[in-house]
Amino acid sequence: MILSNLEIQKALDDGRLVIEPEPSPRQPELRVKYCPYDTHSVDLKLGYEISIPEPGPFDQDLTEPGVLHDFISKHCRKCTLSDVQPFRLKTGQFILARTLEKIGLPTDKGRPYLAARIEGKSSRARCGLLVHFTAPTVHPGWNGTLTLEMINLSPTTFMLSPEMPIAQLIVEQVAGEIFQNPSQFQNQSTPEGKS
Amino acid sequence: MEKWLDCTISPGQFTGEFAVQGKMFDATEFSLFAPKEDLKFTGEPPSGKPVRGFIRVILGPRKDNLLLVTLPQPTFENGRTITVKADQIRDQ
Repeated sequence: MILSNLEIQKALDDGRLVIEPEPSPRQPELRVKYCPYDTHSVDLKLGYEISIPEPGPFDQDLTEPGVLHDFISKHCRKCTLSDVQPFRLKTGQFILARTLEKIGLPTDKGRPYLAARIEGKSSRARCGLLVHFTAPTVHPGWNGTLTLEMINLSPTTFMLSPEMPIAQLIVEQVAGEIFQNPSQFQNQSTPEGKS
Repeated sequence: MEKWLDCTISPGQFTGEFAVQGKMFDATEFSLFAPKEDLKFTGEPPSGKPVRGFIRVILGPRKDNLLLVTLPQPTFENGRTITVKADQIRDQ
């Protein structure tokens, strides 16, 4: 079951869902130009840090045991965005970014547990900008920012500015009991997955 | 309550879809794509030359000269709800 905007807000109040900083305002208001809530989703913003994979003379065996974020970090150039320094995402370019917000789905509040999915926004998709692909799931027990795997499929360069609405979070109820199997990226705070 | 908000309309990306541009209460621009049934205009807008028209909105709370209205589709910039001046709204 997907949570409506009011149920998302109830989950925030109950502490079963944590979004920090909390998106606001909770309702559209006169003179306020932006409300991040749609009927059953809430917008997330682009964070300040971007990680740009660099080409190199190496092959990465994705089945090899090891710490993936070390490899990714070693071969990425980092870039910090600012209001006066947006990032120019060129045609075909792939980068990692992260949400400004830290998402938490605590399981210590009991059932029903919550899970979530990060999805793109239609306005960005129309332009040819993928903000995530193949990995939208946020599991119960997750705590951390969400990594955005971004690629520009358009023939145009896009300017990416910090705190621009970039994705939306869909929150769902999980039926039944769970057991924990924490992700290698639990508590991540960098686009590559380091805590 | 359903009303109409003034805007400019030009061809969209698909048949039956139009690019809509308008102004909020403080002259900040908004833009969106909307289907023909949510728009009123005379004649087909030629490419690159917007025509004046109206877009269907649902009225929300009003304070003084300002109205909160909900558009039929989300804007590229914000969401579906914007603040406009009351004199931008028409009955039909």
